[in-house]
Amino acid sequence: MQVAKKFPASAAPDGDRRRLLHGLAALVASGYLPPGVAQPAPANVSAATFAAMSRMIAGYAYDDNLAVRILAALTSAVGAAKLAQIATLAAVVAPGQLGNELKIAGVDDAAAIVVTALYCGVVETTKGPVVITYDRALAWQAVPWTKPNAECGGPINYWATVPKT
Amino acid sequence: MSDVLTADVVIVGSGVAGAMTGYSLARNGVKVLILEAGPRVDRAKAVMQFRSSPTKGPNSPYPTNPMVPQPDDDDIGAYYVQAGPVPFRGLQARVVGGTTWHWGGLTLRYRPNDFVLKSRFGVGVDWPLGYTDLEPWYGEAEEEIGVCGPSDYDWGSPRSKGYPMPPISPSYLDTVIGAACGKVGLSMAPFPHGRNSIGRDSRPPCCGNASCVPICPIGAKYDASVHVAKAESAGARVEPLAIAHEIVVGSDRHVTAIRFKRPDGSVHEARGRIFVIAAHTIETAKLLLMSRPEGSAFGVANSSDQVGRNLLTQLDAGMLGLTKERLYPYRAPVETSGIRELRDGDFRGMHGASGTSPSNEGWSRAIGPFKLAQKFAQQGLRGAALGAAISEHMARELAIGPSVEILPDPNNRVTLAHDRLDPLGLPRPRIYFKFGKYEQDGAKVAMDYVRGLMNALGATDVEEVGPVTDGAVMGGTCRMGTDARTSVVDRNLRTHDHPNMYLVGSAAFPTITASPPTLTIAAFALRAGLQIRTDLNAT
Repeated sequence: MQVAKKFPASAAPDGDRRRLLHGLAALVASGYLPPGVAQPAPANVSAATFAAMSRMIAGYAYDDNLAVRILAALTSAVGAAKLAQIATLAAVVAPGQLGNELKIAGVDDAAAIVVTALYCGVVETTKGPVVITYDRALAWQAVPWTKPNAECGGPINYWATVPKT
Repeated sequence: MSDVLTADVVIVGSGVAGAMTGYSLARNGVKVLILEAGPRVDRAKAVMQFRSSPTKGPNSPYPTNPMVPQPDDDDIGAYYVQAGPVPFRGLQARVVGGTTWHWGGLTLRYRPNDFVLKSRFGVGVDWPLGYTDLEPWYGEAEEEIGVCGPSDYDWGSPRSKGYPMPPISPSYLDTVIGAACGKVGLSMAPFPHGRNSIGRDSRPPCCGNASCVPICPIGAKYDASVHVAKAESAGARVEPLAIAHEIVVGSDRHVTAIRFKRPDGSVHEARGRIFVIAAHTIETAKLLLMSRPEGSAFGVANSSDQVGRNLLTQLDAGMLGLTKERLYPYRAPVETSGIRELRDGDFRGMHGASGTSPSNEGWSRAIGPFKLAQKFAQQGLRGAALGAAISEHMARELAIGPSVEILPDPNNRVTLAHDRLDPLGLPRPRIYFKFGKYEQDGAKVAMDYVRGLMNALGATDVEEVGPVTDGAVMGGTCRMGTDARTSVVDRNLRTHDHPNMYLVGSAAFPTITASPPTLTIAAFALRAGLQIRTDLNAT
């Protein structure tokens, strides 16, 4: 099935997991520890860790520039501690178990906010939605057979046939 | 210090009605002044604003001025004062170029029977002129707008010449739906469009940006900024942010000036020989009602007490479903084909005609994958599974439903909300609206077919939406007719009460049909232009 080929069961390459673990080592060194352990004030998640986390929980990641902006907005919206907790779990838990572990850790709602923000390029804040990007939102990568609105889809009448993608 | 501007013809409104009228005059040497309440639109900036808007609604790309309020995409009570019982949802864009900035681009002509509802079917009213009177002007309007369309189907409107451009192709979605239509006694045909299928008039061919509503980023789809620019090139003067608020009438019933405000509250005047009010359905009526010359109890051009009455729109119903087969929407102009049936016939004596067409915009237009991401993320989907679910859902989304004609009702009307002033101190429009059995039955008949179509497509997750008033189509409030006691303008769109004032646009339509009104507005505008030139030459 086309969709299954496009989205294999384990979408996170090993390299991403390594980068995520590497980033998390820095968090641990700074004093942040996984759930259940008494924690001091958490350090912010780094851009590299955030990108790796994004690939794990969303399947895709932003480039550095957009990642920095969306990370800043999410840190403000969700809180550094929860963001770090989600990143930790994304790094150490097998993809098939991630949803369950996020629930057990009590950060499932926060993870939904993070995933939604990553897909939509919009971060919901107490002051209303903050649009980080539209045409480069990760959701468009999930539907490569179309384009973001207001972006040229192809030559005239391309829409008459089944997309090749 | 107040400005006094002068011209042969002063036009209020720069949408398709005002721009087309202005261009038809200016290119023939007439000195034209166009007053527009809203600001100019820079297309590139508008696209950027669309991208940064969280809502992506029809008005989201366009610059606004707080002193020139307009309907809000997400809050229909933000500008209109809704008196009910049914919310009126007609969106208008108060910008240079008007509401065509976010029209879908369909350029169906009205059908011969659309002009004779009363005499042919015994309902509504007849227009004071017929299809054959307008047919040559339809052809002119198609040339001006740049219409592409099929050569083998006229959508029930006989043609004296072909379309200026070859048709665009139906979407892949259309071909799937079209095949299923045969199973339920329906058939489909491709629509004519006000968009380029080839390079024409310095505009590129459509490349399927999938954003006709709210904005075409490349100008392949026609909008009235085309004729604003052409009018200016021909010598017309366009004044943005000039908010007309009073029509000045002399003792001989001739209009002498239009008074307008700037956003700073200053008052200015535009004088001319002939005046054209082309400010769309709501604002045209509002301006006439706000103007109270001595001896006029009901406003300008309103000796019949018909100004503001018989407000028209369409009744929309819809059905959403996930088809068995993938359709791949979100890739083409809004609607590329439509169902031929139910648009005309003897049934119009009993219920409204309807135009039904599948949407290429899926369930959620510009934010399709975002809405699904939110939904599926809350359901616990993460990573690859989330992306797969979004893609599969979007590829199968079908949205289809009828837009039904509504009969005129004098109690569906626009009045002035003197208790709800806008920032310039002008009354907002108070709108009374309801729909009745005629249109509800029309929707019911069409929806029965749509339900059968969904079954034929093996659709799941089927949801019915509406009926609600349409957001795009508006008309009435200043109906045309032969009798000055029951109408506001004559068949040439000249007001019965004021020999040198015309009302151009769908405000003058006595009835609305199942077809979009834009091409008919343009045809009437060009026709009015000729009449106005005749008047000028006669004086």
